[in-house]
Amino acid sequence: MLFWYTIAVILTLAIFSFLWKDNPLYKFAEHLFIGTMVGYFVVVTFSQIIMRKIVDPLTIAVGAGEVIKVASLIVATLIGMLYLARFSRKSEWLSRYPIAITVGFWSGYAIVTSFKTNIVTQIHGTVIDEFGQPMLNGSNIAEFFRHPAFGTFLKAVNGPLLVFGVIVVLIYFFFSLKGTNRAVRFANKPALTYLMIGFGASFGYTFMGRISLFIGRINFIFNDWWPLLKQTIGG
Amino acid sequence: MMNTKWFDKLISIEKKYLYLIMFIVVIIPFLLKMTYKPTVSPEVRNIYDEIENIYQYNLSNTEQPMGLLVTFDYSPSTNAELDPMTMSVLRHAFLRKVPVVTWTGFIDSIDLARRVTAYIAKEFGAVYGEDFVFMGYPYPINAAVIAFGTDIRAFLVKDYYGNLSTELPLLNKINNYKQIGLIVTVSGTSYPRFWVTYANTLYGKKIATGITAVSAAEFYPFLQTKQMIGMMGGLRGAAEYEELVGRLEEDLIGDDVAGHMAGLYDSRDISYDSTVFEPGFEDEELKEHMSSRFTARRGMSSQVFSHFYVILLIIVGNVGYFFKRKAEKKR
Repeated sequence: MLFWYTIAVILTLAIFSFLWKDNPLYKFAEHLFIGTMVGYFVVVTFSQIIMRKIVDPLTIAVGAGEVIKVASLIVATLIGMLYLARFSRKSEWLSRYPIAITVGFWSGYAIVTSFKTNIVTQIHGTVIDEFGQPMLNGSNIAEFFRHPAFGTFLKAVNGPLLVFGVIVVLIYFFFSLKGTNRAVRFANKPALTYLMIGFGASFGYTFMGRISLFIGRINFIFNDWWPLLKQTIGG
Repeated sequence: MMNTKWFDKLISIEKKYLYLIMFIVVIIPFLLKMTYKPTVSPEVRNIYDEIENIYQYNLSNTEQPMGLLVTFDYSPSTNAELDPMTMSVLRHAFLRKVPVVTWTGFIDSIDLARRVTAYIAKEFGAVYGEDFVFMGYPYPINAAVIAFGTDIRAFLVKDYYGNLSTELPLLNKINNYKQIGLIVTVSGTSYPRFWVTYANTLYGKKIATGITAVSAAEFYPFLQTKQMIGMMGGLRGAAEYEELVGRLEEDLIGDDVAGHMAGLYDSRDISYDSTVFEPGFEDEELKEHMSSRFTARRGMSSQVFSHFYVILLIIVGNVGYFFKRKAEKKR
């Protein structure tokens, strides 16, 4: 185990060496990674897709004498194989059949569900809060004036800020109106502020994500490889 | 020769030195063995509570229990951030004996998902086929998500190890969404959106996600609309779940988790499938399992240090830029 862990540590350091400058060690690790991935994909595609999705179901269906299942599996496989027709200019047109079936099937499935998931429910979430109350709820503002505190203040401004933000950002990206339009001019600065806050949050998270990847490798070196090395050397 | 001003030097520090300092900043907490005690956010707590609800349900429904579907929708390039999440969720499920079905939506993660599932199952003496199953790579994943709405055994005739799905006791009890209490999709991509679109919108299933920090901001709107019940965002989210499961483990097992694990297989009269995992722990292996319980929390200490370092760099860069502009205006 120590041998392979050590190889992993050397390759990790080889990849990170690029941060100092490009070098042959980095290039070697990069090419090794790509080569290994391609080999891995070929083997796994065969064992997990060709075997699991074609050979296994077909063998089982033949054994059980399920004629319709066998026929449908063979027909589906043949249609799927028409994708390979793209390799020849003459027979290229045949590949349109599996593409048409796939696109047709998934359009049917995706159009309504995607619309509901990403538009209808999200619009609902912009108008109604998680407790079923309207976002522009005057009672929350009244509650803040009755009991002024940070919690009631947040509750009072949260809904209006969200609704206002959605509207100004939508106007900002509504290119059918000229830049001189009053609504566009009004929305310009607040929309940019909202966008910058959004980008800032994304940047913070992105930075955290990238550092996490680095931390993962350091964790491997200090908490997996190093103790193993110490134990092996120490006997 | 041109005289370089101090502010010019501030904004033109060579990148390689900045990286070198970052390297040092990140390794200091590791050398000092620092850990981070996170405050658990509501979106992480919700996932934990939902699995506890499944456990409570199963106590009174032993014949027809609810299961957990954990999908490894990430490739090894993001495992540093996401492995601690899947490990913590699986530990929670095995601690509560909630039946677990796992698979991966990425072809390059098959081995990763198999290894993590077996790694955690081994810590709790879980039996393959009865307490958990690993279904490999259910290609194409979108068809698999829909197939789970009827009977997944028809879509996946064999599991990863080549066992017939119809011969796995767990899959005979849990084979469609009706018996799935929660779907946890751990991902570094937009897969959680896809799970919401089909499993939640079409079948009304509860979805929770563990997501890389890069993608976290994208999924907050789904929490507000309750299309997702919870979210672990980045290493911080992983650290929070790790903390919750750590507390539960201490409550159920006690302080000596390592001792408990060391003796786990001594008095058991169960024949374990050695293709899934070899029962028993060697000393070094046991240490590694114990260490993996703190991966995210340890990582967060480095995260805190590196954030301070970057804030410092932003301040330094802005000060340099501010004085440079001032000097240019004077000229």
